[in-house]
Amino acid sequence: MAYTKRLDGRGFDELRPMVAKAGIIPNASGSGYFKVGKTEAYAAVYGPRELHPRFLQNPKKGIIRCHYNMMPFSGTGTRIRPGTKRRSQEISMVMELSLDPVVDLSEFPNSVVDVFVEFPQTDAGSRCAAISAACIALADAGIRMKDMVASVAMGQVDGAICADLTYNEEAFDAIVSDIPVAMIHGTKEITLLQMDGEISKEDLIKSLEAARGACDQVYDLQKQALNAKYSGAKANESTESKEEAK
Amino acid sequence: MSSEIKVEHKAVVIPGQVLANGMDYLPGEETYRDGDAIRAKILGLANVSGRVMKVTALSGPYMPKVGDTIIGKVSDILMSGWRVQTGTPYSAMLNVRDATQRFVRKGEDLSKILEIGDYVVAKITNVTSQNLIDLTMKEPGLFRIRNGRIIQVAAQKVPRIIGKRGSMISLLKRYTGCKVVVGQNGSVLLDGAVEKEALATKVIRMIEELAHQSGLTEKIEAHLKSVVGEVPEAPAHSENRDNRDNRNSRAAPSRGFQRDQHVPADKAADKPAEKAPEAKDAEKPAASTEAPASQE
Amino acid sequence: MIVNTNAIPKLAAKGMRLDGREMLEFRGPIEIETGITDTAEGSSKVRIGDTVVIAGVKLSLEKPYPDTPDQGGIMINAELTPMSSSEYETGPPRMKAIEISRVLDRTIREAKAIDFKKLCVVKNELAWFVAIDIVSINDGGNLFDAASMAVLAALNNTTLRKYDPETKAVDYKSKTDEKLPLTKSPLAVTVYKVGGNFLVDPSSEEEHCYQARLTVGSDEKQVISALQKGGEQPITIDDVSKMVDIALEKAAMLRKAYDASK
Repeated sequence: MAYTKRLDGRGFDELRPMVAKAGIIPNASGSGYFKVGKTEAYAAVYGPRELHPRFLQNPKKGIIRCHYNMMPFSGTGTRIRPGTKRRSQEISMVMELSLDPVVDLSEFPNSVVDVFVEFPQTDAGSRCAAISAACIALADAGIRMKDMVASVAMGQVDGAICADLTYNEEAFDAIVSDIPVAMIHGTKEITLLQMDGEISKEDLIKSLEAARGACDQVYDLQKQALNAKYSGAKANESTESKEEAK
Repeated sequence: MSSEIKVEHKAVVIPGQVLANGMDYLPGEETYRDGDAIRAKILGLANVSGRVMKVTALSGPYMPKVGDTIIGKVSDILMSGWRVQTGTPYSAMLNVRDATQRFVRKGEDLSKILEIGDYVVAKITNVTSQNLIDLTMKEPGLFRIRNGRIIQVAAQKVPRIIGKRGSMISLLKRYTGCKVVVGQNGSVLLDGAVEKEALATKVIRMIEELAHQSGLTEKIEAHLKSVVGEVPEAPAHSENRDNRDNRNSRAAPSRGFQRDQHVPADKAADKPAEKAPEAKDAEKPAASTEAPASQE
Repeated sequence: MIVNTNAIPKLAAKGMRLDGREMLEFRGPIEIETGITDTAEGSSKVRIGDTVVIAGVKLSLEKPYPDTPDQGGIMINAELTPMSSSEYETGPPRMKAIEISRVLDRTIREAKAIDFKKLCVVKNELAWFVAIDIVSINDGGNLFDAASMAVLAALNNTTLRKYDPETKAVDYKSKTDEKLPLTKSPLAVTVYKVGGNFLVDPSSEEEHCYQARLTVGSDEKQVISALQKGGEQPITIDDVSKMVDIALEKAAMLRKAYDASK
């Protein structure tokens, strides 16, 4: 049996309904929100700020530190006990690696930019939603970046390459692969790549090619979210403030 | 390939967004060249006047600069000075010889001069490549804060709150009667009658919100008028108070340095001899038009 | 964060606040959303001014405690996330989180707001246990009261899940219409003493300069189910009397908002 129709009726390259917002956590330097289907991520950026302990400091540039955390009631099934787990530590680490290539903290030696991501609910693709939300938050915080990073969980379900897998698809009774991908928007360079399941090299490359379009859809939302927050500034920008700025 | 501008002037742009293609255009502030394209480096408003593409940041951390007046908080007392939090990832050093005019004996209790938790208006005299910061309080308009309240605004909004040649700050002072000191790090001191401080706080929040609207100064003035009514320009009593405070400014000599009061932003030009902060330039450190209060 | 430690008590002594509010005025808007997450058996999101918290309920089937063989139970946990304020750090809960969860636990438990006997499935063998997690999204002050509203709204939003009597496994994907046996609506309100006067719904700044505080958990019949005195300074009996009065009045106000959200 081939996977000819997706479980939720979506097209193979179609992402679930998405919502993106910027600036939802007033205490933070910047914040972002990204919801795709029933995976929902809140991201807050604090910093650049003083970094302790001292041995973590980099005298050449500021560092970015990610903290991925699922709320105790955000998983399907039983309660998740709070606290650090190997899974969330690993995801935090790959988040850092996926964002670091675009972030420029050279003017902030010895400092840290903390990115906190929390999920009230998840339905697969949480690390991708985390990265997409975190990138909105970083831009909102006024951190210098050479580009945006957008992320989508690609996958292959019984031979069919799909964008934005759900939990049910990941658990589909066939050969399934789950490939979270993050890409720098302009160059389409890959900053996050993981895979579990089974896939041929050809299908892997096909999935990555398909990720370009999927990431573009996420990017459009990130851009809209940031525009929506700051568009008041755009609509009314005038010559007066231009003069003042000089 | 022909050159082409990709965004409207004053459009909101996000990091990486292409502002223009082609070699006819040049990358300016907060932009970079990537092959044919000029891209934004930071979230902000595109500035596409002329051939140089620029972006004006709309948010982001304050970067310490020499000559900036900031409001900081004393966080520790060291051997020969104080550590001061600056609202950046970097704390600053205030050496005892830069804090007070008077002679301080070796081993003297520095907390008698500045205590942990005190807020000060101070000026940055040095910033190293690693953002180590030195401060001074030995200039006009720099003092230990005793009264009023401090609020925080985004550092990017500071020029708006000061206004063109200090116009906004003068409005605030005129209509609220508060002393207003705007630190370049976004910390703002408001000192006056309680309800007037509250009014000034609200108005500053309004300025923040409407920061990029046209005719902002007029809007704010109209609002202030509607709340407190007409207030004549440059009221005489504030002038007198300045003078009075200038003369007997130090009730307790051991406290923060207040030797020479600075002059109002709008009067700075009239007294070139006075070493006042360059208040006429909105980009430069703020100056308050009233003397630091030393009324006990 | 800037804290005007001098100005706040001085103002409070005159019955005034930094943000121009009345001493006993809550910030607006007060908003309660329920059913905000699909993975929890009940959930809510509460906003008081800038302060936003989420609460979620997870159910599990477990063996009752030996001393209460015919009853289920509850557990309340608060996570003050570093996402919600620069004052919180990652890692195990600190005192503030522990205090919030313990006081809110007493507010609900001692009011007997949940009929624990109805949670029992098989005496001595199987009962529903209710785990409530509070997560702060933005701490703009007064997390205590916001968390209390969130807990109540999430409990009221909770429906039981199907379970397999053979394996005793819960099928978390099959919702039932059966609601949690919630019989009362206890809420906690915290009254702060600042500059000798009382105020409610403190901002983050105000939370840094109070003399004493009293959290009062009470139900719709004004029966008090939990008290917690905090802060470094002592309070008089007269203070307690006034603070409880204020708390009861404000609880009634918050309960209206809660009732309207049901």
